[in-house]
Amino acid sequence: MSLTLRLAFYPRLHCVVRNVVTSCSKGATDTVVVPKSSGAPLIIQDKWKDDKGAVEGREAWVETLDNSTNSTQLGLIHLNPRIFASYPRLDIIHENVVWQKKSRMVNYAHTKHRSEVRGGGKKPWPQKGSGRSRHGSIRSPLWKGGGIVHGPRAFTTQFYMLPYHKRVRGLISTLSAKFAQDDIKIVENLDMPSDEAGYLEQLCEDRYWGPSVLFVDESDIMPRNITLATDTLGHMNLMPVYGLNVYSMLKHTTLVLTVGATRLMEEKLLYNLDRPDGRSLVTRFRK
Amino acid sequence: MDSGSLDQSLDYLFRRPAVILRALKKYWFVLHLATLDECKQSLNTPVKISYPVEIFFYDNFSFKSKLGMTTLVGGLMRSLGGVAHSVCRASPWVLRGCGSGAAAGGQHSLASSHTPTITWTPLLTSVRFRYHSEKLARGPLIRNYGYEEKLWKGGLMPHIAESKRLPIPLYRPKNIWTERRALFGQNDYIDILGSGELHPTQVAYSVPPWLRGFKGNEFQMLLRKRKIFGNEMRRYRPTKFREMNRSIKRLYRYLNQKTRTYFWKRA
Repeated sequence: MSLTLRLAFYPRLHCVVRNVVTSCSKGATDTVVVPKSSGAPLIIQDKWKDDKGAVEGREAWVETLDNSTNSTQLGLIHLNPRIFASYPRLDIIHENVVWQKKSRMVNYAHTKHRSEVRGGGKKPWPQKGSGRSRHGSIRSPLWKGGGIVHGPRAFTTQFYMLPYHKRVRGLISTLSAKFAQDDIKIVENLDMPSDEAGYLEQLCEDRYWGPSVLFVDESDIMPRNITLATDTLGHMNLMPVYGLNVYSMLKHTTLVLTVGATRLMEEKLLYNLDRPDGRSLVTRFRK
Repeated sequence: MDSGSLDQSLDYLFRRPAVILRALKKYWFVLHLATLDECKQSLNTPVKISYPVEIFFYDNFSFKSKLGMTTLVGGLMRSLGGVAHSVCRASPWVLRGCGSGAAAGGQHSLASSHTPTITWTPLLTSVRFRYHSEKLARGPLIRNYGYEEKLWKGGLMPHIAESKRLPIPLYRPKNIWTERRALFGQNDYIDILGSGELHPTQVAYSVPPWLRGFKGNEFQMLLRKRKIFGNEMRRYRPTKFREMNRSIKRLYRYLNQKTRTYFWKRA
């Protein structure tokens, strides 16, 4: 179910002061306030308390979806290397994709047993004397039209839960891989001047943003214009942060994250990397 | 073997142009006998032969003649002072003798039939061809003789123009960007990236509600179905309910009394 295609009742207003909101948690700074008409460049930094300086932090351009401004690139954002510069574990990514596919799979194929096939209660001919081979039922698996012994039985599921930390690692690996391949674009917000699909398509063409694009924002209520523009385009989709997953990230060529979504995601993933109650999560899933 | 029979054997041998007596290494003596005359000439003259001697002959003889050849060649070998091994299969053949003794340059005469002082054991080696061109001339090796590969080599299937289509379905590529396919997997990581209260099984809306987060064999599935839908089915689907109960009974009997299941290990 998509929770993303909801129309906002009011468009987002541009604040005089540009706020980059980060929630107060481990490893985050306070809001960065930048005046609108300032000539200074926008640099969204974040000093992580656990930064040992062993791995160089990554940087990305902060862009805008507004083509009317003279420059589409507004500034710079520093990204946590633990999320965006870790070694991409392909085997874990594969496991995650397989898990996503299998966990929601239901096989409805069904074959009837000999007891379920209509008929076949009576012995077709006496045991001895007829010269034919002995049989007890016309619906035995030996017969044409008889039951299937080990065929598929309806409502077969292949559900299982991949370990919690493997899923965390899968997300991190995919993000790192995508970032390394320049498939992640950071955007200030999802505000657009026009609500036409053509405008968005042209924008993506000009910037070489792959055939399919996934826009990720922190909340599930998206700005009006982008919602209307992506409504008719199947290959451009909107998602909140909580809906992000390895399969979608691999399906869409380009991943466009807002600054708020990036910070929220980083916070969540960093917390889950060294959780104090991690042990409680490593339990077998029981319905 | 006396010289008369040797003469005959040599006669027989060298009528075929294929026989060569040939030395391979420094210990080996080359004896090329191109014509019978030359051979006969050489017979009269004592020939210095230092062992070992290799008689190499090749041709597609018949089996019988092969044996004949080898006996004759063996005779030749023996006359030269060698002891021939028993022969084995294949043509062409190489009869190779090597010296076992230490004395060098044992003088043997082709004409004479005196036994030499040094005995040596010939080694028999079979080779596939003398010259590579012969191998090629023989042609490729036939494998799977008699096997007919049932493969249509007639090119594309017939296309009937301006007539009805072939009985194969028209290819319709699936639209991979429908909403269901484009957003597949959404919310699978909601327990990690969300507030942590929701589990992915609680938001797996594409799966029937009674199967979300469930995995089991048929017996377990039917029990779950009865637990959830039992009352409803008893009232509105009586036949189906009855059949389900019978299946459950049958499966219980089968799994617990007729077959081993891995549950037994826990018991």
